[in-house]
Amino acid sequence: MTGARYLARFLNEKGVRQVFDYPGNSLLSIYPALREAGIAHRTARSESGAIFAASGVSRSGAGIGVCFATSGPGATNLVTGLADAMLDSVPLIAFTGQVSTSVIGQDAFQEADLLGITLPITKHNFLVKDGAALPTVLEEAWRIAQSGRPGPVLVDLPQNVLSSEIPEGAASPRLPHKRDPGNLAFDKQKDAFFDLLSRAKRPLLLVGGGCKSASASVRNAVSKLNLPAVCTLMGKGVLSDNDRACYGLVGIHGNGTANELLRSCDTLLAVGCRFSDRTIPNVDLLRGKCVLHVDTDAAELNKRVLCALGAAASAEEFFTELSAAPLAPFAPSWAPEKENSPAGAPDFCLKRALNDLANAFPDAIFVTDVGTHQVLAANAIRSDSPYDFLSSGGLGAMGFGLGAAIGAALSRPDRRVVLITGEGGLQMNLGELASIREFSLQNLSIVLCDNHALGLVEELNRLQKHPAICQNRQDPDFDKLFSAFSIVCARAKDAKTFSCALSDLARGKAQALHLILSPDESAYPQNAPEERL
Amino acid sequence: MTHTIFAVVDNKPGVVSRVSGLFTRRGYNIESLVTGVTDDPMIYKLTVVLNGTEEKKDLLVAQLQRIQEVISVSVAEHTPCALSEMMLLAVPAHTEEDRAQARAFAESLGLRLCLEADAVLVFELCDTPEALDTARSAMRARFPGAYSVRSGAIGLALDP
Repeated sequence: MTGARYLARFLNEKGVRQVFDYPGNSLLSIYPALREAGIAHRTARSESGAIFAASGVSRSGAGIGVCFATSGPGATNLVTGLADAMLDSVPLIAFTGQVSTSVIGQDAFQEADLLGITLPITKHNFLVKDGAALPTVLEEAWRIAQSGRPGPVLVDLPQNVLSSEIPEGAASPRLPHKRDPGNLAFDKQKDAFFDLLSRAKRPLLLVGGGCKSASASVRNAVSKLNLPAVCTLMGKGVLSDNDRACYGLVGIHGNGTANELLRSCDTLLAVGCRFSDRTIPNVDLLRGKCVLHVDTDAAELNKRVLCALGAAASAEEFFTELSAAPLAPFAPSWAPEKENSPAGAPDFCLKRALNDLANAFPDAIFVTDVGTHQVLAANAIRSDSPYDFLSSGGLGAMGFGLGAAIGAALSRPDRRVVLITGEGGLQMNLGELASIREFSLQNLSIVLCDNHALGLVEELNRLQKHPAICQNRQDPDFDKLFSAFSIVCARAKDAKTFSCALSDLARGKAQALHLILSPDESAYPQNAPEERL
Repeated sequence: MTHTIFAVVDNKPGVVSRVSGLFTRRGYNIESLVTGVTDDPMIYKLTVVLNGTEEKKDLLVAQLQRIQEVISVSVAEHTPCALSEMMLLAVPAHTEEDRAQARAFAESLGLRLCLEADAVLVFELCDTPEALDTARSAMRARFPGAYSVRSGAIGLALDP
């Protein structure tokens, strides 16, 4: 059996039913193999669209996303998607074609050192120089992507390895030398941990993306202990935004109440988060508080914030122990009532439009791009599951949205997927619009938040008192553009037209909603400057 | 403060890149990194000398442990171990008298003459990093034109 066939069979056995790709010479042998294995290949319009689609699969909880790119430029186009997945701990596997082993290092046509290029932006990467190693590498890649703290894995496949014969029974996965973090270390610490927590007068739980797979246990512990909680962008949906204990997003782009809780708590229990500078812009904010940090990745403990006690344990382990701990529930919440309405917002603005959108699509998976709309959507959309709000958090990669939404829509055909994007982000991977018709994605709706400027960047620019950067930007006619891709678009420029257009979108009469917005709307959801961190 | 860290790693292509890339990416101030084979050709040992706080050292240990090929990491200050480093030190010496003085002084410090060229004598010393510091300072004080290179420390952690 050839390497290509072995790979396709391996993916099939792991339950992969579709992969995202862009073809090229070094990968040609993979296509017949995928066909034989019954795996659909979804060809994107660029490799970055393909990897964001794979990310959309993983982020929406539909298994491990897989993408393919050819050697050289195809593979280098994956860089942003890999870095994005790395920072947000998204498990995915990228297979790249490579020139044959006999010419590696000779600057051959479409040769690039992918191992070197992607080394700091993958959880791990492999260059398979010998077909006999392929079975082991594939098993390892699959394990590494999802074990412990998940992340992207790249497997670089020279052309001759894909065509070489793989010996039967060649798979011999190496046993990991290191155990994945277990509760051995935490067992020793848990009494001290729970003792510190029990002394809290104003405890606050900070939920990060590391809690995604432990949502039920988090909810159980929060309810049992009467513990108020805030979340990071990646932790959104772990607790339901409809839960009264969940105060939503904290940090630079968080809401005023969540930020106030962070400021006034005396004990911060942070689980599965890395204290990013978007969440905690200034670590002095936590001075004097008892910070208890739990993360499956020991390298996150004391990286940015020195904690009173840190434990390397998975969120599931921790919250299971927490629920079983002999802790009395905390006093009726010291936290104030939640506020949800966009108070004081004009009749037609992005903030209000997103609230209405959330109401119109109560059960959708929302995907955002990056910018003002992303920040406001993260506050306006009420998520009930950690796999229902997909956003590029750590890297903030514009162009993420459309690809990720396509991946989510294809892998979750049972769900409505709503992409909220900006005119900047949409144009970064515009070609992917063609996939919507090609893949008959009736379950994907697009909301284009068009403020005729790169809104968030211009806002930051204004704050620094620099002259505008994008004043002469000439965007295309988006309505005609959607039409060219056979997408019916409704347009809204005021409250009245918005109401009709949103109704058209919700009823499926339109697949895209083009919002003409003011370039001046702020990306800061807090109502007053003093609510900011 | 200087910390010495030992890492036992799989002998796989790119493992040194992964470790050295970590230092660059995370902004560590590394004094030396030495890689060498062990009795098992599939296993390498790395010795890293780092300048930094206790917290920085602990963080580096945790970050090293994240690398897939890293089997174990230990810290010299918590582990019984032998530490050694090599230094080559050259002393410009143009006359017989210069040569005799350099040789006598170097030998009094335990340095061994390893090369005698027309205008320079090269000495070597294998000892602990601290002993090398002392010898180098003494030689440079006496012979200001002396110059040296060091291998970086290697360590052998002793099995309990």
